[in-house]
Amino acid sequence: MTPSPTPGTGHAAPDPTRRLVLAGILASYVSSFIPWSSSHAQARATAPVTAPDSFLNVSRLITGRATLDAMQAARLYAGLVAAVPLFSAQLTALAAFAASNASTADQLQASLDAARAPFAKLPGVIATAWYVGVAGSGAAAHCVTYETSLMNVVVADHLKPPSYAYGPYGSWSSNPLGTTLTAPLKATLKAA
Amino acid sequence: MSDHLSADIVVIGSGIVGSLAAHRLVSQGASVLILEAGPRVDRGHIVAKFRNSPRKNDFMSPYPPSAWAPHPVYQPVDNDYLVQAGPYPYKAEYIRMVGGTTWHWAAQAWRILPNDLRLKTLYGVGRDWPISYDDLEPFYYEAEVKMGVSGAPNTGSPRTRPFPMQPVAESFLEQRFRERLAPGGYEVVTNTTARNSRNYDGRPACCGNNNCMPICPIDAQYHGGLAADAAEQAGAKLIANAVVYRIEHDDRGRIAAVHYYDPDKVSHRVTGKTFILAANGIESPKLLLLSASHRYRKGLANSTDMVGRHLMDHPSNSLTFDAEEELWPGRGPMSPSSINALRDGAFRSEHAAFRIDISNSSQVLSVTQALIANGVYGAELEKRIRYHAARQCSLKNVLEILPDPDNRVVLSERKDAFGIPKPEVHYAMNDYVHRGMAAARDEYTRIAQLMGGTNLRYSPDGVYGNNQHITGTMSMGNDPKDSVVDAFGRTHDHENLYIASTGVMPTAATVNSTLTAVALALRSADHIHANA
Repeated sequence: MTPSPTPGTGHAAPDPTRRLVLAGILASYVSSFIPWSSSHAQARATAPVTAPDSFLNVSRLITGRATLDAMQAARLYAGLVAAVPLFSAQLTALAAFAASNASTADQLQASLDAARAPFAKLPGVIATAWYVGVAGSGAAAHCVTYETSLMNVVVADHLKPPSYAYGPYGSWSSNPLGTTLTAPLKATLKAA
Repeated sequence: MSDHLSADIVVIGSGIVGSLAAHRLVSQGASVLILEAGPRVDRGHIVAKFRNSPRKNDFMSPYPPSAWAPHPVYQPVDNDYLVQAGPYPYKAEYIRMVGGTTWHWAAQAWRILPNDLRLKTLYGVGRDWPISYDDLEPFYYEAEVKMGVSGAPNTGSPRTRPFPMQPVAESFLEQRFRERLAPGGYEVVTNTTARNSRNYDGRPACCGNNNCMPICPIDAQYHGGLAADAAEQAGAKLIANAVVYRIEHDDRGRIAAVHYYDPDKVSHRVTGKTFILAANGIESPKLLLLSASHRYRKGLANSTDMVGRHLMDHPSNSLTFDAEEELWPGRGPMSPSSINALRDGAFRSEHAAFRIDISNSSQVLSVTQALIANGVYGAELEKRIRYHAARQCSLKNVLEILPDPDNRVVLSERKDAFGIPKPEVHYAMNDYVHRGMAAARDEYTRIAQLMGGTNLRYSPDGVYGNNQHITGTMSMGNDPKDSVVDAFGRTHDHENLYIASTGVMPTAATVNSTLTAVALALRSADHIHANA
């Protein structure tokens, strides 16, 4: 194992200026495929300006993140209301359960299961929305986010979301522990 | 019906096999007409469909079937197109659209081994091919040049000329498997793939998008859409949304015409001198059976009841485990390397041979879904996503199932929206397969140990994945009693009807079937041209 920036490619060290130009070209090229047209636009059109506090509070608990992107939260909330039957009512019940039981993320699911709560599956549904970017399941499932889905954000220093270029030819040969990626599509974080 | 469509060569199906045969013939001066049942869809829309899909691990998700040319889909619900007669489910996936099923593939473009063609002679099982490896070799090379194949020399398949391209650069994961498995006697070989390791034929080198399946976003890997484009640019005429539903013969048993429906179910008739049926290993036998006539009551090319029989694929079992070190699968191509040592040997008289495929697909989605399903939330969720996404690896085999006449495609009593009978599959596994799977499992265990693996999760015994390598249903052979086409892919029963398909392969071998089917089709095209 011989970690190096570009092993096995026979390429010279990258020229920063050229790389900037190439990155610009690649960004234009990639942006032509970004599917803002369908689910993205629909979710935006129907998303409220802000998600309710109950959704934000439960989401902070489930993600362990004090700060969540407000627009993403609003779109996920709208997506879940559209895809999951009785979502609003179950959310209210879950928020109340979490508050009254002083739940932590570690014991949330066990507490719900022990209480045989009818909304016990809701944390998984909300986690799936935040991390996978999908609201609902089965035929009702729809994609709300992809590039900013938290599962992709969590690993963004080592991986690009599949379908986005990792880098120049052969760049994947390097030891990932010696390579840190710049997130390709940074979410604009606005505290919710 | 007012159109008068005719050509020297009529090709039914615009997938990689039919389109490259068409490209060869039109380049040699023949007029060529390609009929494709499905629609045209461009790469950008497929990429957009992938990114918008709620099921990114469902490779059929970006390819919804059209109403007039349905194909099987199983998620979110089974559309019940491919009727299952059992006893084992055969959930084949294929795509009916311009370019066909290689829109989604791992681009593995292997040659088979010389011994694969002599299974009966050498090991007393299966059947021999009517041709030798040497007959196929020049056409393998022609296919590799057309498709832009990169590979390493240590594959076991002899070659007279080097690969068009050097093997694709190893991922870090692949390097570590190669290094850690070597002391255990395993040679890890970079896969032979139709993937660019440099700019080639106007297409870019791979950029490691890790999305070979279901769609390479940059055409760094070859696919049937590019083959169809090449055929059209060379002068072939391609009609999309043309659902061929009957092949018509004349009084001498020659094929005179084919009939297709457009999406409005208006029928059109197309005449030609020579016909190439290239509609895949399930739709092609379906069409032959559909074309039964007063003279050919069991269907065309089926005088000995061989059409649709000997259905094969590559069943797989698998092992998922956590490697000792951080490998971060998901950097580079999805399926970069293999262990080839068990593709051939005396054991083939006792159990199935197989290739072991080492995955480099991103594990982020699968580990996230598994953790959420287990109720893991909060900081622990993110910590464990990173831990497992960095270490989770998977191995699977690509295993040879033997030809069995009872494994077959027939016409179902159920019909599609156009009233055309759906294909129905009969499929079973035998002990030859099960013993091969058990041998593979032992190898997985050794490999995982060499990788310092923990948390080993084997696929359930007797439950095998499928690889969508549909083979055998129109087998080639010298004897019409047990085959459908001759050594050049020409049907025994109709002198101007050829089959170009993975379906003509008499055995499935242990590697992905596309390159072999293309080489066979180019050999058929050469024969057609020489005898025109």
